[in-house]
Amino acid sequence: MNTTFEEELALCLRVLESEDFQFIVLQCDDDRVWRRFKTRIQEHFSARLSKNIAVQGQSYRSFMDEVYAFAEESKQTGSTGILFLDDFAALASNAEMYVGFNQRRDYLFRLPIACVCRIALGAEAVRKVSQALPDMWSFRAFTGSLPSEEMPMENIPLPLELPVERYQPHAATDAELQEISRLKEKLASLSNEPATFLLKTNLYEQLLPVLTAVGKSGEGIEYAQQYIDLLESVSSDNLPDKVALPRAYRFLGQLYEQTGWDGEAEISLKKSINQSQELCKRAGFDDMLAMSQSSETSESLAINFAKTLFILGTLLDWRSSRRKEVTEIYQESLNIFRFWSQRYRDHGKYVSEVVRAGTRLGMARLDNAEREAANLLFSEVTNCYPLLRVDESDEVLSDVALSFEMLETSPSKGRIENLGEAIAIYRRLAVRQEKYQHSLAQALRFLASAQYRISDFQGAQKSADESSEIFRHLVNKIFDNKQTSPRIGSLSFTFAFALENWSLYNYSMGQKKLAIQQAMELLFLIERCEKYLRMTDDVDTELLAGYKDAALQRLHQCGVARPSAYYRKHKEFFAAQIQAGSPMPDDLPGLSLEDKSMIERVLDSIAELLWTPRERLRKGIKSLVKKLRKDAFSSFLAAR
Amino acid sequence: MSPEIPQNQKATTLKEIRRAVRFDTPVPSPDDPFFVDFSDVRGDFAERMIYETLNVDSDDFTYDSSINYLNKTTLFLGGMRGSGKTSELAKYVARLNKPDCFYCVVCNIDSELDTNDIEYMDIVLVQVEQLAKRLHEDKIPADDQAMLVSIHNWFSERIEEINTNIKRSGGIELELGSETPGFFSIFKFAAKLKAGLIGSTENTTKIRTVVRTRFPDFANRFNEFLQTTVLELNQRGIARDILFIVDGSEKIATAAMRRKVIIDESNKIQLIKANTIFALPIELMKERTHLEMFSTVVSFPFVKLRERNGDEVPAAIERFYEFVFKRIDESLFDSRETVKMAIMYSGGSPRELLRIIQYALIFTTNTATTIDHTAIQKAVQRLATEYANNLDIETLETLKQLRENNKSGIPTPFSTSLQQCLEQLIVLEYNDGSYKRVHPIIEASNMYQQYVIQPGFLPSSALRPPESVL
Repeated sequence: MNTTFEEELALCLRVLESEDFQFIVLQCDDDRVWRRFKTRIQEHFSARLSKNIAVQGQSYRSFMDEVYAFAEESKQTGSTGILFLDDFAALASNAEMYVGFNQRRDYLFRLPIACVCRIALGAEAVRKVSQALPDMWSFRAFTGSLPSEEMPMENIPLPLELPVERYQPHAATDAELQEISRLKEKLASLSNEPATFLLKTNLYEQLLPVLTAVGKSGEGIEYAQQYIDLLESVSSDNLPDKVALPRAYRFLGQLYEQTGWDGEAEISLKKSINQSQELCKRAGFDDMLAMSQSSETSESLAINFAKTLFILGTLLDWRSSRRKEVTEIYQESLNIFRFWSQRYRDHGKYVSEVVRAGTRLGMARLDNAEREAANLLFSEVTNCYPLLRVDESDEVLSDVALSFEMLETSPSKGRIENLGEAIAIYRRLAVRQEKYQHSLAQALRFLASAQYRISDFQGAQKSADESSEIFRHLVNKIFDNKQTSPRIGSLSFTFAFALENWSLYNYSMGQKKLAIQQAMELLFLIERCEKYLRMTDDVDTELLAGYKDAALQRLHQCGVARPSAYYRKHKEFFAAQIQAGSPMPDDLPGLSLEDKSMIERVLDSIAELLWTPRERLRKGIKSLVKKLRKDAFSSFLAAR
Repeated sequence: MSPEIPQNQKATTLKEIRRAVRFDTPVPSPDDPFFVDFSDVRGDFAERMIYETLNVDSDDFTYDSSINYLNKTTLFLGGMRGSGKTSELAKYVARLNKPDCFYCVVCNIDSELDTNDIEYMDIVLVQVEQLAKRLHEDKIPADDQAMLVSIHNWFSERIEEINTNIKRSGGIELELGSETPGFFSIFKFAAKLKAGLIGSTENTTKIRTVVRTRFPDFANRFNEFLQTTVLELNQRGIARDILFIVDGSEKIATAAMRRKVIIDESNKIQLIKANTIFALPIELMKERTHLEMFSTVVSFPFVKLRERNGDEVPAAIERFYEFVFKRIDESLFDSRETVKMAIMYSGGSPRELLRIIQYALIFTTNTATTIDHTAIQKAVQRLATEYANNLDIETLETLKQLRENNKSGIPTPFSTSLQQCLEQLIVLEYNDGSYKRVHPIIEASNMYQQYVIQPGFLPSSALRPPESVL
């Protein structure tokens, strides 16, 4: 049954309009959705009594006493009360409860209440209720299903530095520099005699990967060109290693990519691909996978081909016009890595390549809104995790973490476990490289959302606090040092989104103090972003304005009469408390402004208006004038 | 007390024959007194083929490195057990190990490694070890110190990595050593790793995991070592290139492991850029097509004693006379016909011939001074019974089919059963593998006679001579 929340709600409201006893059963796995559903019902039937009664922890007698008491209360009001049984599944599982409840059907049906009962999603849950309470079930008024909400991350534009990271070179170690020096000197010492050919190819094969690894791309390009010239000086049929030339072009492409010469990189990589395909055809195969399946000797050709495809994919990834091409490239690369990884499954070979290609393809599928396909890929990648080496590279581990993060599972507990895995990996990586702190903060944010969903508020708060701390640290580092950074945009918006979400959660949980704190921090962040705007053009002003509105709205919801003025007045206090990590006092400063004089309120109103967007400004001025006129008139009347 | 008889010395008494016919001791070189050159009587096999595959001039055994700078040859010499491969390989080493040809490095994996548990990378370690050892023993100066330091450091880091893993599981670590970088240190490192491979299973796994993960890097470094050494050997007039001889692969314990090393890991074989001759286990000859994608496969058959039409090959028979009489004085046989009988029952396998003579010794009386016709007969009868006890119905059917096909002059297609017969020397192969026939000793068995020749025939104690011997 693919229905929306609104559709189910509308039907349920229609049923509840009847003043007779109603037995309504709804399937829902999402706590947040259930809460929202109840709230909407209560809002709709605000004149009717409503109550939650827990089944768990009660005896049949005590439970029924509560039910009867509520029925009596409802009777007094003259309308049908709405009784919410959130854990009705517990009743259907407890013979002591369901036998009696079922037997009392006729009596219950005379009571002025509507029972709105929640059970889990799935046919099994329904079967259980229908078998335990056949008589009640036969009199049901409505059964429905409330779909779980999409994870918030579905709607988030992916941060710029996730997930497609181009190859990041590392700082050269002394040993690597020594080796580079040795290889270069040796190459320089060799004559041009044919006898030195094989040794030269060997030296280039050792030199180019290490130059690439340490980011010496300028030098690397020079040597790669020399290597290609050497290989092309011999007829390709005579080359002892036929894969040498495609491999050399791959190195060249990778080095161009590192330098940022994307056009040249693409040309070189495509040359490599074409040469490999030519070799494949000459061997009598239509494609590399077919060749791999038929010929054990094709491994180096196939793997080089797959690696080249992968690099090309990462090069093209951010060009949305070529997204289809990129998806196909990643798919072909993954197919080949997958085949050879299976071939060597006892040795764990090519598992890291499967991880990298699988994650990239998963993200590409996600971009194409192919959630199910993406999920399968992320699942494949996470299953590779135990097969990775202990000293696996950070890039591969971060891909595994990302796959855990992106993997959608049901029930929510599975999602939390996956996020736990991702967070554990990011923690290890963040110790080594600061760039993974953003990923860690992001994953903690998702974890907080998932924990909210299953009503683990304590856990959610802890995750949210840790996430905030990291985001705060990262953002402060850039702002405090007055740095310009291409990351500030995505970093700030991710943090802003998180703060906005958390303040909403806390507000809906009645945690107004926390909601206010988060809204205030959000405003503070926006202010800093606006200042940053004067330095660069990096920040999206419309999005900023939207978040600002949301923060002000939140403050207003939490009872702050003049949100903008409140922010201006108390931001220093909140900023100091947040930076110090101190808990907010129970009485937040200046929360109620009702005692202020009319003039002070007018001045505050003007101040607030100056902070708001133009259309609101216009409306605000109209409203203010109206208010002034009313107040002035009241004062005038009072004075008289 | 009789004086110690040197190993390869012609027997002049019956007592000395047992030592002279030890078939598990190969003939190490053409200079050995027991050496007999069978190359011109192995039917379609031509020794020239080997030299030409290696780009060696077969007239003067020289190697031209200037025209062969791109050519590194991998050659698989495939032959049945006891066909004389090891002696043949020894002959190549003797011919080719010289300044205007190769610097030959022999690697006997059956003596260097644990044949019950081998991977290809183990063989490469033996190659590294043996090359470094030979260079050190020959006192070849190491000009490229920087390269040797680099390789030395690489090995040190690997051993440290291995020891870290060993330590975690509480095992006994590999000794690191403190040699200065050079051929000797590389030899020692390779030897340590090799020793670790034939030690405890846990250590073997840890060593393999580390080396396997870094095999392409290891291959690159080994190749640099090889190419640099080739240049230096060239410059010093010591040799023009390096040739590895890797023998003993047919002694790897199981067929599955043999296949894994040579077929499944052929990608690793291709990574090592060196001229190499591998002895190829006979059952892998059927993978010829696969192997020929990156190597040359040469079949090394038994010596053909009879043509398909049954005619004897006098040259081959004469060569076997030479083979016998270099080891055993002719006077220790009652007649040449006795020797001929043994030769014909051997089917052209030198090892089988030695086995027949060995058994014949058992059946000589205490007072005998020669090996006579009766002793050979009894030896063959005994061996026939032993061999035939392993024949099952499926095998007998295969032999029947083979016999009929040979009679009709049509080739016998490959089958698993036929392959097993070849591996167990129930069937012998000649020429380029196109001619196969049943082992003459098996033909002499009652089992064969009863089930293949004349089904329903009643056995008798009299030895039935094989069809090919009559």
